[in-house]
Amino acid sequence: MKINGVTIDDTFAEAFPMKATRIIITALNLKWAYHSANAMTGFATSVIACGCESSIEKELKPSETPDGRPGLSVLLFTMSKKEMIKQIQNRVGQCVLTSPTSACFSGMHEGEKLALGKNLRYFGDGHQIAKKIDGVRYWRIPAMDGEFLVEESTHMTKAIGGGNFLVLAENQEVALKACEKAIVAMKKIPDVIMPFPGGVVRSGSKVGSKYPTLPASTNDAFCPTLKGQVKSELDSSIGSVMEIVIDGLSQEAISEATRVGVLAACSLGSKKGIKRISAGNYGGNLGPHHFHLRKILK
Amino acid sequence: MSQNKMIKPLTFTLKEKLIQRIDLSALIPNQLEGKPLEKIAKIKIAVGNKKLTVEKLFDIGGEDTQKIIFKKAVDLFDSIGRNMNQGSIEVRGSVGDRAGQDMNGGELTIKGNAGDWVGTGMRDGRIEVQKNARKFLGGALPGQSHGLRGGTIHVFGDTGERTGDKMRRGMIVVEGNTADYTGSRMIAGTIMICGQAGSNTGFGMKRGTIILSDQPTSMPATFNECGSFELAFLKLIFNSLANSNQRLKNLKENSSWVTRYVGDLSIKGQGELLILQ
Repeated sequence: MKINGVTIDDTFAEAFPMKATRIIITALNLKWAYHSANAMTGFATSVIACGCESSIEKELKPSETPDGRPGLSVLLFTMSKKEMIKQIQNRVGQCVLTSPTSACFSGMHEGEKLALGKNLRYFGDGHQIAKKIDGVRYWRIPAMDGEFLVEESTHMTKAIGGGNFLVLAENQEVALKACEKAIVAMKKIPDVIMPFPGGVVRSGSKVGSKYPTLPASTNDAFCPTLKGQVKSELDSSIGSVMEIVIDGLSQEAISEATRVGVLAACSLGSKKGIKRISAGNYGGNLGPHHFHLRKILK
Repeated sequence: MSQNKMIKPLTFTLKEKLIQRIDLSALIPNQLEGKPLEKIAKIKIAVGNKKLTVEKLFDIGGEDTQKIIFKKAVDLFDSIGRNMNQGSIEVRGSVGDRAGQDMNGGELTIKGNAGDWVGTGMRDGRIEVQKNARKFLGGALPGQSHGLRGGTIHVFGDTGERTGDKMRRGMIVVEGNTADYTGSRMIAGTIMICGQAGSNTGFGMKRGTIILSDQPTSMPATFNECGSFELAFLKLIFNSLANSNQRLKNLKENSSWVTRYVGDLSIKGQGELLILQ
């Protein structure tokens, strides 16, 4: 299969079950909503060492937010409920509560209920005020800039993490350009995030390592500098590989993000240096969700 | 048209002029559900110190027990909608005391005036009084620790003294004026007054919020001004009210800027009077 001269490998991305929640952050203006959301989703690229994977899903117009101010929706993915509870409390407590003019709401109203402002309210030292509006409880926590308004609970749903595709190109510059195009297109798809810096990851990993304590190590089969040294997946025309990792709320959302992302990456064409699109998997034995590139792009 | 739409609401039309008060707490959707009309007709109702059957007091029409209509209602109709937790009751006329007492769901619409203690002890649901209500709307009965405990009471006209006395949760909206001691001894919840509130508004308030469109006639000296703020939660309240009721749709345009007073400090209260700017 070829798109614009770019070969689509007959392979699949292997993804895993995760837990997810959506949180809405609003502020006086979009600039301050971004300050808060960027802090909250910082250091949240991979569950391997960050505890969660998180990113901004989309911008929200004032008409789309509960308090009529500009806002952002943030998706947060973890491997367990326990970790989700911890990550929400720490990140909202340290990054949203602290951010001037912010307010914080649940962006999901189905699934298991988890504390959002329920514990943060104690920051109010007894001066916090509860308000139940349309059956939803909110907390007003007095802060130095006025009041922090936060919904008492958010909801957690089943989700999928680790959808991905690889862009194989002649060199770094072309690979990055294709990935940037892909990310622009993928950001328009709801229910997904690409949690790595700028949405792109350069250090794809394989399971295991020669060092027994490490659970994962560099994906040597796709490292261009190791061609001729290890059993490489790359031919001589490929000088750089980059990966886009996708976490999503549903299989459909990840498939659609993969589809638009690959098409956008391929729009540069083989003549400009994009050679192949592949995907990362572990032989299909570890993750229950498989995203076959050729099926998605059919 | 679906079959459901063909079923007419169960209608009780008062036959003769009442001399004594009548307790209508037995005629609620959750009590009448599944009962044939013949059985409903035989239900005994307290009238003064006597008990009379429904059929002696009312002409009965329709059959949908989940939509009840009272016609020719008068202010001797007490405890209408008491303990109701589903369906709807519409009252064409006025009602007496304790309408919607201990309600736990459903809708009670009173097209005329209401007496004292509307919605006392109510936990959920919605009461609409389309004219005026007397004293202790959403307030606590003597000996009770709480008045309104949840749900919404919406009055199109004015209310009497002690509106929201000892209310614990829920929302009271008064489009007109309220008399003295509005929100007295309030424990929590929200009262919104679009007209003029009387004197001693917030007297003995422990917690809770009273939103006022204007300065009340007076407030206790034990309230302190905190300054002017834009409070985000007000937008949520205004939107909620505007979306649930066409009459309040203009609230969407309301500013969330208020002058905040806190009290009643005589009892270390943390209640608030928010006066819209």
